[in-house]
Amino acid sequence: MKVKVKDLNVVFNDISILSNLNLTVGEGEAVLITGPSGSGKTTLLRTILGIVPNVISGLVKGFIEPEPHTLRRKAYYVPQEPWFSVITPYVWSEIMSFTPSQLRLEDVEDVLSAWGMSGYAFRTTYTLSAGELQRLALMVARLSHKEVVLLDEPASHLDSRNAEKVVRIVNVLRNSGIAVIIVDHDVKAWMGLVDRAYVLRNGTLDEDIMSYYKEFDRLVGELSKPRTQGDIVLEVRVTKYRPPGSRKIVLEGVEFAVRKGEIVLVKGPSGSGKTTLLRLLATSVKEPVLGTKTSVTGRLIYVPDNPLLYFTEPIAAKEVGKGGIEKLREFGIAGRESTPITRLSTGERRRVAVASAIVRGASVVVMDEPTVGLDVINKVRVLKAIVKAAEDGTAFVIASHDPLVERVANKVVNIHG
Amino acid sequence: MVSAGTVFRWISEVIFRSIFAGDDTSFKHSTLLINTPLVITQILLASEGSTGVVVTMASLLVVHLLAGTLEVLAYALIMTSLPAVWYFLTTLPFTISLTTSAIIALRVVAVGSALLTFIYFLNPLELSMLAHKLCLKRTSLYPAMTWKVTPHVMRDMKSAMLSAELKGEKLWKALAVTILAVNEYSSMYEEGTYARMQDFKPRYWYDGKAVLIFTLILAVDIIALLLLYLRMIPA
Repeated sequence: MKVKVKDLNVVFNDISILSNLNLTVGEGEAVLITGPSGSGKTTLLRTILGIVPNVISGLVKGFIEPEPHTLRRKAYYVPQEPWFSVITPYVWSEIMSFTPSQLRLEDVEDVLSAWGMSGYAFRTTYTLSAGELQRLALMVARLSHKEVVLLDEPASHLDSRNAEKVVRIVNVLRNSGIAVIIVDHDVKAWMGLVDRAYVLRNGTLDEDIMSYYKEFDRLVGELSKPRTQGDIVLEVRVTKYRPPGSRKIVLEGVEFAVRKGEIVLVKGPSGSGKTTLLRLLATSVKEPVLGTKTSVTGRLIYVPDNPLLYFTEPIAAKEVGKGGIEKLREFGIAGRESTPITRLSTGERRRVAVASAIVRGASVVVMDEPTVGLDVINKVRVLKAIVKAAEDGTAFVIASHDPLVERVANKVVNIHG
Repeated sequence: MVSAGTVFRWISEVIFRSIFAGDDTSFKHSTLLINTPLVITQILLASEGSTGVVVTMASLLVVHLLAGTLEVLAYALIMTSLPAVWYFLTTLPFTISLTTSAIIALRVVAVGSALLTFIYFLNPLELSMLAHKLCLKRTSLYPAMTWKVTPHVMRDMKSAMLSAELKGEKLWKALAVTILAVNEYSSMYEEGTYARMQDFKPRYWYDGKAVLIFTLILAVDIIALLLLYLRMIPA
């Protein structure tokens, strides 16, 4: 199926997001759309499907062929957080409830095996990693004979190995005649696959990707590691850890120390136990955990991957208190101090969380995936805030698969799972 | 000293493990037509005194032993022991008998464990399929989604509580932010499933072995209940 967008205009609260945008994606074609956060990439996908204005209110003018109402039945949409596209609790039910009824359980097991998910049929979907969820979603799209696939930042939650797997699968979809529209910050991951790539700027699509990326190289070049490190503030030793209720040992023989002002990166493929290690570390500070020994000097603060879960106050100014307003300005949150936390972007929430942790006197801040889902500009902003805090004496333990985080890390702890 | 946060996280962990933990198994493919009368029979048995409690607990043990889910039964027992202790302590001044209060507490454990076992082996896809067959297409989504979304929200609630505790903040603030997160999630789920909802056709199958085992246990429990009603065995 061919998708054609002509003179598309989208306005939210009197602010123009898309302006006279034109796009054509033919059968068996893959198109990549990149651009800064807030440029309207996700809005474009939502409007093509009719989510805007049917679910999210907004003013839409222009021409989309086929009409969103028709396209909705022919298309498969995987949002940035893939767990929000999965409806049922088990892998088999997710596949069998959305595909033709002649598909049997044995067929499901065969397909899973062919897509590198052998033995997953009876797994609960909430335990799947982002990469596994992406593959499951694409599998359902393929088996349900969809003609258009829309992917919103499919590589953002994935390490390079898992991103490659998803790219290969998308290639299979494209070769089978499906039109694919990909929105992503990671251009390198997709350049070998897509037929065309665009930058979404000022509401329209621009083919000049190179000049856009030159700016990023300059920004990334500004990142550096914190220079001064002091005494050890955190020591971690996990001899063996098996989550309660699980038969599998998730972590074994993990040992490291963190110095004052140091950034330690916990690195490993998706599903290797990075998040588990951070949670374990944070929990073991409060209560004894079998097989884990942690000693911390001062206060340890934990910022989960969803930064919203960190907050205990409704606005940034209250979260950091009077003494922290200057810190917010330092971290680029000037003018947003009184904005409700729920209206801040993910990048802003993460910077407020770092400022809040510092103001609360944290000697160690444990952060899970602080750059996930952000464009390079916002990634650099968050990382600069972290480096600044480290140079002022706060230590960081960061779980991430992002190569940019490695640029600012003094030490890397590899987790293999 | 154990903090309120630690206790709350522990309770939510036990609830999570006694209901949502574990993958799908053949034992979760029995039928509501057997499992519903089974749980009702077990509750009636437990209310008939100590013999009924023993029969109920024995039948629960057999189910979990055969299903290989003894750990789930252990969590159910831990969870039900909390209200059981409460009942024991609060009835003691009125019964003035350790034995009588202990039997009351054991009834609570038996009834609670029977209900949790029923929920654990309840397959949301069976509910979804039945709703779909009754032409309740939109409603059919809810059982499946509840079992998908609840563990997600519970995991986030634990993260929020841990984070708030480490910040030295009050627990209710973590619960408030979890509500905000759930609010965000509801619109994200609406968006993520927008293009798929009309395709939803829940499928389910019954496992003959599981149906047979639950039927046999139901038969034994009904016989025990009749014998208790007819006073053929002591209560």
